Amino acid sequence: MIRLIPRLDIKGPNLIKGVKLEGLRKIGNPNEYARKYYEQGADELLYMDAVASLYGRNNLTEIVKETVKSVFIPITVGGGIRSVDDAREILRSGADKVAINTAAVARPELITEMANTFGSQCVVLSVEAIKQSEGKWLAFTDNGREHTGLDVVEWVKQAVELGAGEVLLTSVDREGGRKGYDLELIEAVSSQVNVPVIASGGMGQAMDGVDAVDAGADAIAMADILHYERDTVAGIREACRQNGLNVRAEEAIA
Amino acid sequence: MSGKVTLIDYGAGNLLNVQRAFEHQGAQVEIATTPEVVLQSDRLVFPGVGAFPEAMAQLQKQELVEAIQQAAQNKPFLGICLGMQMMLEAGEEFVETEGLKLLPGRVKQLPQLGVNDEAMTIPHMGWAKVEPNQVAWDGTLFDQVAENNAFYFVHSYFADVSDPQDQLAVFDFGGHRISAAVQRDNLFGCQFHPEKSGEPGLRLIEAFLKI
Repeated sequence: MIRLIPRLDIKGPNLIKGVKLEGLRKIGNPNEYARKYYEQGADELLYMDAVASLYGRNNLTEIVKETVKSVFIPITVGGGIRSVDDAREILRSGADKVAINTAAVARPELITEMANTFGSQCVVLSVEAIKQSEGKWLAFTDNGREHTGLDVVEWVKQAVELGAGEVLLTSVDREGGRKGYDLELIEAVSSQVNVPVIASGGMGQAMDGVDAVDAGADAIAMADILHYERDTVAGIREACRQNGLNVRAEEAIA
Repeated sequence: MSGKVTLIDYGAGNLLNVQRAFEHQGAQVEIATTPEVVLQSDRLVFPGVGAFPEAMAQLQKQELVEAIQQAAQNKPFLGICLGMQMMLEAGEEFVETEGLKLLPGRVKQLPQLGVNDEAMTIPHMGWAKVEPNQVAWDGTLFDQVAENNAFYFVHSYFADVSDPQDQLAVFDFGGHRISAAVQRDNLFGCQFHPEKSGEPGLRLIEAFLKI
């Protein structure tokens, strides 16, 4: 089944939202939004600490501990996770999966260490992709600010071989732009690996999600469209269903 | 609703989420790390994330194997994911390992190919619809489960039960019918994670608390 995944970017105690991962605007209390999206039928949640890389640590443990008291779907947490011990702390707080970007780029063996310790299904490679003029994408870190020099497709293939069980593929160019996902990017990556690919960045309307799945995504991350109430998880799910996608049925949620 | 439930803690996997889900349904949760607490329990939950051999080794180290086998003779018992798999006779993950032998069957790797030879993605992760196999759901833990349901799975191995009468639910995996839940008398197990399957998962937990 295709998964609909609200993405909650967090700064300090607040849910925030930006454009191209920058210009962050305060939205509200993350736990209230998490609970709302759970009730709307989200299939998973994604928490990203937007400023963790700046300070070198993830501050989400308290938020996650609170969330799991009333939200009973899988939760992925990313941002500032540097080691197996960091990952363990997040998992002990109630997260089910851990997303890594900066630390994986700096030391790719971390992917294997985490996969060996917690299982591949726990390890999500987070990639921030920026399209280059020659039709390729390069991977960035720190919300699209730091250049890694890595080709996105090659990097993802390497990370999957090292043990990543899933890929969170964020198009920095499209992020917050409401003009749809980078479908070429989704196709380029999903055709090269057999682990699930979560498309992120650019959902303007429900049909954008359908297009992302047609391009090869197994899951759709969405933020802006939900935070600003332009649509609901239930509304997006219904649009996906009407367009022939295999999603959780209404009676499987309530 | 009342109900005391004892979670078996052998260091494998994330007890917290299972505990939260049971507490959310009104259960009083106790954590068992010793055989004495297991034997004094009202009903047992046996969660598990990780690998079969390490988990069995840890149970032996804590001297929990015999206590679980004894308690499982009459107490309501729910194995979750690896916990369900360990209810069987043996596992084939990495090395042949004896299980708790509560139910006949073996734990095997998920098929790499579907029935039409298509490559399957392993681990199997995500939501899947479950359905009855040879056993009707009336009067079982699945009595209230909608026909159009979905539960959340994360696993690379599955419980190949010997007696089809023990197989309460299956899901489709590339055309293969794979065990999603087992039941025999007071023994229950589910391959999926009820604590991560939203409201329908919570209702299963509630049903188990009412046994």
